Amino acid sequence: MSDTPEIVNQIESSLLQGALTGFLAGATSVTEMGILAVADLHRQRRIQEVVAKIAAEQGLELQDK
Amino acid sequence: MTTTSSYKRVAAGAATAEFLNDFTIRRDAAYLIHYGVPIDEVAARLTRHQRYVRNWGMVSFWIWFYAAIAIADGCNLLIQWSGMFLIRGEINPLKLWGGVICLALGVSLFYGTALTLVWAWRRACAGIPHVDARSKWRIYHDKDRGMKGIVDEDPADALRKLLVWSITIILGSAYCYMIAAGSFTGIWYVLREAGLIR
Repeated sequence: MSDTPEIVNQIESSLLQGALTGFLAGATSVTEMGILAVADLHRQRRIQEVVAKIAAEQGLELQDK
Repeated sequence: MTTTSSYKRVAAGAATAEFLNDFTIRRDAAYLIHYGVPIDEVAARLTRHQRYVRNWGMVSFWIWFYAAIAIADGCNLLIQWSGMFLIRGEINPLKLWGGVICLALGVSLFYGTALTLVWAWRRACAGIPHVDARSKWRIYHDKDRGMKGIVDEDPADALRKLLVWSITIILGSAYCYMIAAGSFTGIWYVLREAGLIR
């Protein structure tokens, strides 16, 4: 799986999470699950952004991205 | 409620949740990095933690209503039992054990689901020695090992805190109201039986 681009893994996991969240929250359609998946993808990328910012401030080296 | 507006509702809810979440993300990332989690692991740990809390939080949200009902019924029965024991010397095993079982069920449902959320944070902190055995909420208010000065501040944080506290208080009052209603049902029952009210 090492040649799989990181973004593909992120989108895949967010789609699964969106489906699970939608199931738990009583989503009635694929569109609602999709909205939740996009929200999860946004959160994932925001976490990486925050971590990268702190790493840059402290001079730490991130392996990816 | 039309189908179209349900999409809007979900989108608005998700956007609000992400807005509120921003503070949590900055705080947790700063905390994990500050206390020595390897920098490459932080994003994965936080993503996992957020998803775990999201999913178990939704399960807990519903279970806590049932837990509140069980606690309310347990309080109702136990207050009835102890009132009748005090004013009449009656011992009604059905009320006593019904109350004990209801209360135990309610408290364990509540405790068990709350524990899943605590475990989620402990898993995110795994490997930080002094965090492993402590609760998330205590860490944040710890004067020596707390969060002061390591989080990026944002002007919207005050609004986020206000909204989160409002939601917490509204939800908490809903659960507490159910328990109070059950207890007062029991109290009124005892007072009626004692002839103090009609």
